[in-house]
Amino acid sequence: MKLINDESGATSVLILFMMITLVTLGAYSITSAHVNYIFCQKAVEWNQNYYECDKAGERFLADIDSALNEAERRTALNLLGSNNINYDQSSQEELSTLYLEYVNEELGKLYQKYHEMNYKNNKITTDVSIGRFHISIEVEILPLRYLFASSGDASSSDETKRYSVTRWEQWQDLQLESTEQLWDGNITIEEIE
Amino acid sequence: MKCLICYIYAAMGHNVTDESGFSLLESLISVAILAVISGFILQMFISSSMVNQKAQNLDVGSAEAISAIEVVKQSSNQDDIRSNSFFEGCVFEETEGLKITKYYDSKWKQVFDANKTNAAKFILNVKVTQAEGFEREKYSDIALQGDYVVSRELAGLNDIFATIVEITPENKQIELISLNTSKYINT
Repeated sequence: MKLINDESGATSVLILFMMITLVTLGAYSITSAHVNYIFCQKAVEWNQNYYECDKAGERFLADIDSALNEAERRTALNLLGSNNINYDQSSQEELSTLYLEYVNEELGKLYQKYHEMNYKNNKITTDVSIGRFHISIEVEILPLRYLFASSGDASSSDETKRYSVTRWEQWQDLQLESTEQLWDGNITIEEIE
Repeated sequence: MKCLICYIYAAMGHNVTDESGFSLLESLISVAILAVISGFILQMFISSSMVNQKAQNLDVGSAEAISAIEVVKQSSNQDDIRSNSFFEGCVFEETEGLKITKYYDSKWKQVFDANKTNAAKFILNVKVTQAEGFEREKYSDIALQGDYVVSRELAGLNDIFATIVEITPENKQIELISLNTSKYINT
């Protein structure tokens, strides 16, 4: 039978272990709280950038609508100046062509502001970037809103919008910390063998 | 005082003799050391809790600011904004646009009573103003009536600001979150 005379301070060792455990847990707790706070700050920053991008998109829509509004106004003034009272089918087509010409002219003034803007087949597309955040918008120009009766009385169409938004996409660039190449998903025969 | 190891050895059938103990001075010193270390550890947990609380305030504040912005964006006029349940019990002012103030206590519960706003810990400020350079006349709708061009002011671009402010115990206001966007109303 082995006799143990313990005077080496095992209790102190236990207390020490307990302290180390508590300090470790405390350090872990404070680190995780700090990381949590950083994540929340990042989320706030992300939201701010998201709404900045959204703002840029809304301003683009306002500019487009302003250009279309001006084209409409010029078309209406042209019509009044022509003294053409009988608005038959051919007049409507002419008017639509004239409207699209004015639209082209008015949109031309916006190219300086929106370098990425593209106008083709009655569709306007643009990309707006705010830092790493981007917004891609596609707007379709609706036909001229005026319906002209054969009697000569003109009335506004029920359609109140000059355009319709067909694409509204927001995305952000990914920042990859690692420079390691990712697997592209292809397997070569040599690798299998 | 027997230590834990001695108990374990005794349970295993060993003969354990432990007559040693602690003197008063040793006990006092150990208690003092424990108190200092415990204080340090406690401080760590308190700091951690405070940082967590700050993170939670950012999180909830951000959610509230986003909700406010989305409510304003979904509304087509001031009446829609005022009648929305999110802005129930808020203070509305009409100076240079529309200004809405919502008060919260420290638990993010809305403070409804205007007399108790001193107890508020957080404030949500929402401001809706007409965007500079995007005046309503610019977007007026045009209709032809007989030989006349009739214009109606229908559309406009509004700037929307939503900020969350924290009130410190010293009664200072610190801006936690500030979101800003625009809404083009074309109806």
